[in-house]
Amino acid sequence: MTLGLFQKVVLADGFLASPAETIFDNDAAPGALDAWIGTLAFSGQIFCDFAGYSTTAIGAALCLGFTMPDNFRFPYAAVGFSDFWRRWHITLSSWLRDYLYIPLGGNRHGETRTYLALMGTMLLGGLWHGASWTFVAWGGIHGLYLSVKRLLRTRFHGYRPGPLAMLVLGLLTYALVNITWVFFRAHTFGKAWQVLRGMFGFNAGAAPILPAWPLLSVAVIIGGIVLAHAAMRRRTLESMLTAVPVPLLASTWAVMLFAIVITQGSGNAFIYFQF
Amino acid sequence: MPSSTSSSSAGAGVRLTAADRPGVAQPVPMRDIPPRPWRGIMLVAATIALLLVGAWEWHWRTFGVVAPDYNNSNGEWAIQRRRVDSGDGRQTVIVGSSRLLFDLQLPVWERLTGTRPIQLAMEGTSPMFALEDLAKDPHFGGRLLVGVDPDLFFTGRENREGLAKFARDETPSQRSGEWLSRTLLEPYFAFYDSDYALPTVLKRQPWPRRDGVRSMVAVRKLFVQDADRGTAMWSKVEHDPVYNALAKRIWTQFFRLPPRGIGADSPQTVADRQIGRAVQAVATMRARGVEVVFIRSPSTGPFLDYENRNYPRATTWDALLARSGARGIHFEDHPQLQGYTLPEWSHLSRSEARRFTAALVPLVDGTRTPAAP
Repeated sequence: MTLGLFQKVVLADGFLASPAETIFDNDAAPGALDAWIGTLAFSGQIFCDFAGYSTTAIGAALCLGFTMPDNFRFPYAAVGFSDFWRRWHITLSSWLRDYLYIPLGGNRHGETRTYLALMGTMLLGGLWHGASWTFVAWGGIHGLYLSVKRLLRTRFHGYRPGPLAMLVLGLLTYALVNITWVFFRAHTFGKAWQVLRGMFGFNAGAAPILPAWPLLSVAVIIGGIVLAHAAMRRRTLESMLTAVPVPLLASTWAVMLFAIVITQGSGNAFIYFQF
Repeated sequence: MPSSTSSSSAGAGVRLTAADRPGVAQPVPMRDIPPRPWRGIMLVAATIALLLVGAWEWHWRTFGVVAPDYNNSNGEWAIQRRRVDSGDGRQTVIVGSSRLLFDLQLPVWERLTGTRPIQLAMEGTSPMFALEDLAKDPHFGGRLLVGVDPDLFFTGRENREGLAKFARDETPSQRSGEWLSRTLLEPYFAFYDSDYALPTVLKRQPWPRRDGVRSMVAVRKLFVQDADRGTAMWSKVEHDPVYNALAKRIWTQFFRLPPRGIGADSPQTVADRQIGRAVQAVATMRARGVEVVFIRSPSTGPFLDYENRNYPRATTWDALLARSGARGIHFEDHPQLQGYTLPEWSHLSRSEARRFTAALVPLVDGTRTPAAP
């Protein structure tokens, strides 16, 4: 519960929400640095918000003697998009797979039908988040990613990436996931295009928006999250807790509790409550 | 570890989830608690955390922050707003921005009149939303004092949007959270103030400036508040020269800004629109016997110069009174409302606010007008 509250109260609400709002809820066109930091901040915010909520719920249930399944499995260390969806919002992605993708034909009725099932599933998955075409675009891009990934896997069947390739592919996956978050966070396509143009360096002459502190804090927090996900890619939280020295465990727990208290959460609702 | 882990596609050491078993029902999850000395770890962690919180509290008390000091939260505003609908609808209600919030002292008013007003003024926010909200509320039949801080009233600028709706729609969990905060935290912990939240404290450190970024220094804590939103200037603003200079420096940023229009509308067009909203709300309330009194509290020095330059009295205050037909009390018209000390040019100190309130009460009573037929 402490870990979940730390993610939600301290990281998501305390440090990441504001830079994302500054970029996505203002009219100003961001330059490359601002657009990337705003988008990275949102990628961290939505993960910490939702995974924090899930982790807190898992902890609360454990206190009452119930065991709940994982909903996230360090998704920002995913290599490829099917891997990402096995790690992100697992309860929803599994439901989409079992009740949409497979009934739509899955991968058992030829290649064309498989791609149609993938795209249909992800478009509807996007629409599940709200009656907005930006959510549909978000799902559509993920469907496109999954289709391209499937195509490449067919084309390069047997390819086994080495450690360096895994690192590059993991970072590429994360970068491409961030592209989708732009559509998820922007309220309009106009804003999404504006931020995307910034991310790809097409907002030449854009005035800097974010001051130094949010740039620094987002870089440190997102860097920490991605590194932590990479380190935990093939582990569980429990296995990590078994290996950590007791003094480090106690002091980390204390610092997280302290940070939760002095961050003074302002009662922001969980992002996923709106879906 | 038991069968909760798998060497499936997810990799060794990773717990199975539904993601690993297509078309199969959710696996029954297992979570073994790792064998660690949890009782001792929890005790040590709780002790360290308590010590750290104690040190944090001590630090802010040394800085001058006090307790009890209630948060000026939406929830606290909602509690006061709901009083109008639950039996206090004949009371005097105050709406406005920060000046009537700071300058009108509820205990003094209560001592002189026998009733304690409901304080609904909100800092940094035009009172128009509250004016219109009360105009629509048939439960309200008392007297309304409307603070007019020109930079907010005649621009319609709002620092807190959706407050009236929040008061109506506040959920049970929000209400219980508010109750817990008011009961267990705000009376006892000085650090429990949004100005001293960790992200705010870190943000306000002297970080290197990024070239080209246009940013303004945010307004710092200026007041302390009672449980019913009775508010007074924080003594540090009055007595700490460094903090006082900071408060003035922050106001100075605004003085350099041009008058604010909205889109293609000129500042005067915007002001006229705000006056129109007020006129309509006043007419609605007067029709059911509500007495409305506009109050322009004192400001001084560069702040007053800025207001006179951007919101000339003739086209704002005088126009408001002429069009609404309501009475107004402008500090410039009454010698007893002049000559006060305003430590940061915009608000009265606590002691001066007491004097001001005592001087204001007879003026408000004296301006009582018959209700419209």
